[in-house]
Amino acid sequence: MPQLDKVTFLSQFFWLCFFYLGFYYVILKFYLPKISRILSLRQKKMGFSNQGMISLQQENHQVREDYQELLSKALTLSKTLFNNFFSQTTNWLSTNATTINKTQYQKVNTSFVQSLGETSLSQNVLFYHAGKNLPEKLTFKILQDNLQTFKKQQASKKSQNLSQETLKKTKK
Amino acid sequence: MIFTPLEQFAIVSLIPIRLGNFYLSFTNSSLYLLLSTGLVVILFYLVTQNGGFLVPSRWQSGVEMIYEFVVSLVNEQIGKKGRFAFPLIFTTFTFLLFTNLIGMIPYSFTATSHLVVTFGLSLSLFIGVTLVGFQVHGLHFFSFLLPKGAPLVLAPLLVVLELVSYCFRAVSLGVRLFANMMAGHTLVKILSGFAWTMLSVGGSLAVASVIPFTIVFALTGLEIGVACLQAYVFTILTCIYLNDAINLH
Repeated sequence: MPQLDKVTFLSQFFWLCFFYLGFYYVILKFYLPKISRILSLRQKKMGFSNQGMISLQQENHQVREDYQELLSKALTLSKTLFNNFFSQTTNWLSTNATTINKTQYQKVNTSFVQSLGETSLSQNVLFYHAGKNLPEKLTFKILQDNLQTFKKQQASKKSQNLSQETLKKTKK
Repeated sequence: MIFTPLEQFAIVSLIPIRLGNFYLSFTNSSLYLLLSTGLVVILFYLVTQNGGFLVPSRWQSGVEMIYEFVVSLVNEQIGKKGRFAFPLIFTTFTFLLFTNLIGMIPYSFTATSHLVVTFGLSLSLFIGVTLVGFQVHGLHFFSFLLPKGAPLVLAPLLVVLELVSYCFRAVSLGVRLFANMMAGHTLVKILSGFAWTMLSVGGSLAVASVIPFTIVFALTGLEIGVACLQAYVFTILTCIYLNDAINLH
C-alpha cells in the first residue's frame, strides 16, 4: 500500500509544511487584510450596522409624522375653505335676493297687477256692453250666447270697415 | 500486468533532492500541493486587484462567501477570544478544500489521501492547540481532564480515560480525512476498472458496461460533496478543540 511506504514520509511531510506555512504567510500578510478591508468598507457604505438601522428607523418615523401633520393641516384647510365658500354664497344669495326684491320685483309686481287690472277692466267693460239686457237670473249659457252675439256684431263691424277700405282703394 | 486500485496513490519523485540520508524529493504529491495553494493564491490575487469592487464580481463574491463562512465558524465556536486563530482556521479550510477538490479531477492526485499528510497536519494542529491551552491557563489546564461534578473517588480512572480520549483526538482528526479520501478514490477506481474491463471484453458486457459507468458518474458527484464536507469537518473540529483549550468546559 503506497500510503505506508516509509520512504516517502519525510518528503511528503517536509513539502506539506513548506506549502502550508508559505500559504499561511501569504494569506496572513497580503490577502486577508484586503478581503476584510473591502468587506468592512461595504458594511460602512451600506449602513448595515445597528446605528445605521436606528437612524433609518428614526428618519422613517419622522417622515411619517410629518406626513400625518401635513394631512391634518390639509384637512382643516379644506374644511375652512368649504365653510367660507358656503357662508359667502349664502350671503351673496341673500343680498341679491333682497336687492332684486327691492328693485326689480316691485316693478314686475306693479306691472303685473296693472295688467291684471287692465284685463279685468276690459272684461268688465265687455260684460257691461254685452250684458246690457241681462235677466235677473244669470246662467252661464245666457252669458255665452250674449258674448257670441257681441262677437258677431264686432266681426260684422270689422268686415264692413274692411269692405269700405277696399272700396276706397279701388276708387283711388 | 495486474494493476491494483491502490496504484493511483503511488508517490513518484519528480525532482530528486537528497541531503545525506534524507530524501526531500519534489514528488507528485508536492506538485499537487503547489498546484492547489498556487491556484488559491492566484484566485485571491485576481479578485483583490485594485482593492476589489464595492459591488462584488462573481469570483469576488465567492471568495467573500468563504471568508464570511469561516468568520461565522470561528465566532460561533470560540467567540471573541479566538480571533487570533482566524487566519490559521481560514488557511486550513481553504487548503484542505482546494486540495481535496483538485484530487477529484480525473487522472490527478489527491495529496490528502496519504496518511502522512493528514496525520502530520492534525498532529501539528493538536500540539499547537495544547500549547495554546497551557499558555492561557498554565498548569490549571489539567483540570480539563476531570469534568465538573464527578465524584473524587472515580478521579484516577476518569483522568486516564479523559487523557486517552484527548490524545486520540489528534489521531481521529487525521485518520478521518485520510480514510474518506482514500476510500472514495479507491471505490471510484475499482468501479471504473469494472467498466473498462467489461467494455474491453465486448459483446453484451460492453453494453452492460454503461451501468458501472453511470454509478461512477454518480459517485464522482458524491465524492465532490465528501471533499467539501471533510474539509469543513476538519476545520470545525479544530475550532472545537481550540475552544476546549481556551474556554475550559
